[in-house]
Amino acid sequence: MEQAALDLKSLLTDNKDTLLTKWFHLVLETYPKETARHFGNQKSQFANPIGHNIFEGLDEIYDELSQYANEDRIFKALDRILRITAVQDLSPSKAVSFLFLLKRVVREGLAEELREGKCLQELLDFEDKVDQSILLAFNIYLECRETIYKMRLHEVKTRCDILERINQYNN
Amino acid sequence: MAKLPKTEELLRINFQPPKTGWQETPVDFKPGTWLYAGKAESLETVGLANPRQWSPEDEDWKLPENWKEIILEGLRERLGKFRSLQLFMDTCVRCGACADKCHFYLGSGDPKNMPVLRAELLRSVYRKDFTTAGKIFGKFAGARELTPAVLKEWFYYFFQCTECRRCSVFCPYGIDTAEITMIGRELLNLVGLNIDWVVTPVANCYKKGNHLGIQPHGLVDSFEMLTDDIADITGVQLDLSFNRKGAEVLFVPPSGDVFADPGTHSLMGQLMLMHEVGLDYTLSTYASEGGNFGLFTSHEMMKRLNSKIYAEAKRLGVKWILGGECGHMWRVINQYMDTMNGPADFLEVPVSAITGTRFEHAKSTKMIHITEFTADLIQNNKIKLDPSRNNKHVVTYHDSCNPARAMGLLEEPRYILKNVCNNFYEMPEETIREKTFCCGGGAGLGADENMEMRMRGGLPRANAVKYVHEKHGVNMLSCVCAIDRAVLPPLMHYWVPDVNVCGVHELVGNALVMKGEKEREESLRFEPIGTEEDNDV
Repeated sequence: MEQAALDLKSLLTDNKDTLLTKWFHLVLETYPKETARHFGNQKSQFANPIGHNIFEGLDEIYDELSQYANEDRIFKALDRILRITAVQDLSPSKAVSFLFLLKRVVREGLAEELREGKCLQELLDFEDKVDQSILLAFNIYLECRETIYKMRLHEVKTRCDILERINQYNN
Repeated sequence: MAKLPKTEELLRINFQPPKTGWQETPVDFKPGTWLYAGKAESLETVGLANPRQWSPEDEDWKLPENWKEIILEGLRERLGKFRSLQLFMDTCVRCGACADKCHFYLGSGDPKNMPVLRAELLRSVYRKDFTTAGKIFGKFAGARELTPAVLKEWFYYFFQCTECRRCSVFCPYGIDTAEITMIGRELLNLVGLNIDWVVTPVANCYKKGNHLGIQPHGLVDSFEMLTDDIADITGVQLDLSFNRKGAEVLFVPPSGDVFADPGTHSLMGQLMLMHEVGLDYTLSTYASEGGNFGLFTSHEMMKRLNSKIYAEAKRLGVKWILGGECGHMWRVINQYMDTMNGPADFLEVPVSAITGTRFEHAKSTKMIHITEFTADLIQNNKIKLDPSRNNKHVVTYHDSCNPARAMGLLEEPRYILKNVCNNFYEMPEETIREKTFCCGGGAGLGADENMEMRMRGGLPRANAVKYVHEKHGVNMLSCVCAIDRAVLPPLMHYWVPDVNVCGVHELVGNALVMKGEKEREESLRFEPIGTEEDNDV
């Protein structure tokens, strides 16, 4: 029984609400105070798309990293958040920083339990999974930025095509 | 040796934004968020102030020496001229009802995009120079000096508002923040601060009749390309007329639909419909633009551009005017035209020659929207439709801001859609009708250089589309605005890649059973009817 209580997987499950809420609010701290309050409080996903999508995305990532680690699902959850952070007023490092915060949240939130040292290996494995997801996040972030640039190029190209047609008529 | 930061210092990331107050936080012009400055030659064409070469990222914006005096005098003049502005400056109690209603705020989190704070950018200057409390107590009364930094802030945020008016729906005092933005832009124009995506279309429109600067023969050629495509798809040859005196109706579509997909498909649908019911209409190569970017420049410019449609209607001797699938055109027509250039006494109250319906609500402007015309035809069983031709589309409808909020055009497009396709689903109630979310590129912000900002502003709309895409399999976002048709495709490509964009009349054109048509195998996009389509942007 004692061993079960110190099992990291169980600890993460048992403390999910507290840890997830803490993580969510830490992520929102990248926004100005009044905005963080709004994004953190609103319930409706349509009145608060950023807060809603970030929370849902973090929730899914938390479950995947602590329980299942299904790569497709992690990708989708990461994409949900990074598609937003990639077009916010954030540097690339800040845009992917929310995953680093998960390590902090777990280390601080479970400090007492982890001090026992019995699930050190599990913690290291968990942090490895977080690190892998950070690499994945970097790919997704870049893909989002590339999409923006491609869309810009597409618009410029379309405009050039239209101008060419106009010039053709004007000759 | 230089002092190197320690490892711990390098790893410490500051997640907190700056703690300065809003008045002390200057604007940072980061690429992707602002728009290119108006070209000098375009400003010259329409006689706007201070034409020159400059860029918002320059330190020196090359303002006239007495710029401050010009702005303050301009504000004084407008406070006297527009009672609404005086009220809007004085009545806000900062209740915050509007704060979380702006798509740019919801998509960016930037507090200065809260409508109340955006208005405060102008209000603070108003207080300083036009109120006793502000003159005496200064900052303590929320007042501040007009400085170049404040002017830069105005430029950044007033060209980051799409004048969509969603916030005004929620204001208990009825403050129209879009009108504050409009006045802000007017004042900026007095010292030569404008964006090219607005001022060049204005100059083109003034000089050549449309935003793209297409000359008459180019316009005719372009329409002929559309009728050639219609003939290929349907086997029916349309015979268009231009500048024909004595026609019953003048048809004015937005010029974007003549050239840019998917607007072209929607325009094809409109031309097919008018042909099918035998409407006696003509197009004009002079009043060839339904849109009016004067609305995004100044009241005078809006009036000047609007007048050409009516002057042309008078010259041609038509009875009334039919407008195409355009958005902001309808704000101009319904909210400003009558007092600017109306009443149009030389025209008649629009009456559909096909159904006999008299459009009483347009008895002063003499101009109705194509969806009003089409909905009336369907209601009176005057056209034959085969909605199964649109079966591959699972459709939702984006209420374009201006038709929804400025003219109350809510039911007609929906009525049409339900008759021309079998799969229609609404987005959630708080994101449609008068509460609709903007596409993020209206009011002249549909440029490419601010693509990142467009993605932020369009997030609330895309989020609602994603919801119906996941819940009902929606794959087609329909709308009645040319700017939407230009702005929504990339927005969907980024946020909800499996959803395409179309005008309402593209679906009408697909479903319309025409007399003498061949068996339809292709949609107006030349795609096989009933198969999956290409989703590439």
